[in-house]
Amino acid sequence: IVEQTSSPEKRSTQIDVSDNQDDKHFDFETNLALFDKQAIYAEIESAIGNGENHL
Amino acid sequence: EINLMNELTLKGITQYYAFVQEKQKVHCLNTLFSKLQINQSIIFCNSTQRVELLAKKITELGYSCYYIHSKMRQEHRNRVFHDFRNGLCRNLVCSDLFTRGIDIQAVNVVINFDFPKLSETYLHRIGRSGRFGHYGIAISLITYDDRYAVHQIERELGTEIQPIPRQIDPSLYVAKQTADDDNQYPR
Repeated sequence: IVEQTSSPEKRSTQIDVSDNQDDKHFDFETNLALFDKQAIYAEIESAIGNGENHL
Repeated sequence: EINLMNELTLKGITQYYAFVQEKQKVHCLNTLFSKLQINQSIIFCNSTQRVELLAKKITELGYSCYYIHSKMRQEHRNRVFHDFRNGLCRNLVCSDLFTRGIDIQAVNVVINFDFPKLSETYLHRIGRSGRFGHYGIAISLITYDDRYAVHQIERELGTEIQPIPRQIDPSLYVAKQTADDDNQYPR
């Protein structure tokens, strides 16, 4: 799982770009593999069950 | 200009997500532009400043692009929206202006460059009025920080946002058209 690198404050005021932004071959599959939705949802639902609110 | 019906539906809209880091978003968007058969697209950002910055990036990448956001004067907004609606430009970057949903049939692709925090906002961005039986795709660029919002929006709207497949079936979002139609918008 890739952690976010920019803070919410930074994110709201600028757009960071990677060096290869001009390349038209973004690797969707490799990135998707970094996001285990099922596991993340299980974690969130467990947190909700414990009374935590992340939003 | 906007949909005056209160009923918005996700029916007919195929929803995908791409997982990205913040700094990969422009790269990802550039790839989507090259892969998709966009008739017209609307790209949403979460702030007015990011709308302008993204519009600049998109223009630098060589794609035609208008932008509108809430800090622009109403007359200016109306003119941009009118011109976009009349097909003078293929892509529109905007903030959350369409409070009752988008009602432009020519828009077949909606991209959440920034994922919204609220299910209501998501529905207003992606949803359509049922009367046209509209088909289209909505692609959300999500970061790890968006995981709670994705979970909540799926749960509240009773919908599923699927991982973007290697190939997107054009029949999900591309209307049958003539060669002349295909050339009516700038790149």
